[in-house]
Amino acid sequence: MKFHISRQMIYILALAVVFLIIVFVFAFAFLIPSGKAYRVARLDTKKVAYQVDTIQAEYDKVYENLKSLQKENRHVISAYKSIFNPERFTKMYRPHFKSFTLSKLSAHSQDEEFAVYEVNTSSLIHSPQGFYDFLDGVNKSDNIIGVNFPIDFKRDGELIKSSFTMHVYIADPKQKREDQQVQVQE
Amino acid sequence: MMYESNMQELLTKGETLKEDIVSMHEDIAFIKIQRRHAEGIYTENTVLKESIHNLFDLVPEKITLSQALLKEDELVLYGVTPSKEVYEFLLQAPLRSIFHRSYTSYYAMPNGWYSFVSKNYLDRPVQ
Repeated sequence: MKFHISRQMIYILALAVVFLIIVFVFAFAFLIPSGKAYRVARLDTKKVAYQVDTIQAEYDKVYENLKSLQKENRHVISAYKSIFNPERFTKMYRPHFKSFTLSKLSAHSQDEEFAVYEVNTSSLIHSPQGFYDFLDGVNKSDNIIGVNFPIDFKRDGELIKSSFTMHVYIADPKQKREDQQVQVQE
Repeated sequence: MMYESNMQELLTKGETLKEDIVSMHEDIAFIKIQRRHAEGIYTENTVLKESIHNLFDLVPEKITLSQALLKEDELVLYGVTPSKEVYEFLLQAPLRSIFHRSYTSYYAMPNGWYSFVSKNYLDRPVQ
């Protein structure tokens, strides 16, 4: 038996072999390494996604904690930010006194992270009860206020003249964290 | 390419979240500082009120105060008493139980009563 392979067939076979070689080279040189890199990248992405999920869970936990703290301490937080308004303060607390005057607010000192302002007061009261009511009221005021020594009570006829100093505490506006706090609030 | 951009997004998100967590921890710490500080101030005001209340409750009807000066570690009382004994038994004794040192000066008045100046001191322990 004798096979007769035409010249045209040889060309076709040669082309097929060349094509196969190109396909194999392309597959081993590019596709297979790319696929491996793809699988590695997918695995890495999954790992990072898991880590990000963990961070997100931590973020949610801390955020909830912050929100609940802000809610619980809303009065204190806003009181430390409030600007002391002498007119408003006098108007609010005058009912406890026969007369009630405040000196001008002046910068006093720095207490940890709070700026302390001082204001002197002089007042006339019918009985010490007015002063007790005032002290109860100060703890609910729009600012954080501490009544300080010296406190002087002097009889003035049927009235008591009292004078004392108050310290108004304001969170230092230079604190960067305060701005961040505002951003986190809803 | 898609995974690379996803990865980059995730890494950026992770970094942002971490920064936010640090910032929120700072906020939480600051709120706790504010709360502790405010509670301290409120307590001091309440203690002050109770102290003044107790002081005025301490003064018997027979003795009339004309002035009371309260300082951090010092109390100065000015007033009139029908006799030195009344003052000593009814006011000085309780004051001595509160303060470490008490000094009283009496000044005789034309009507037989005495005006007095009572200085009372608390000695703070040396740190």
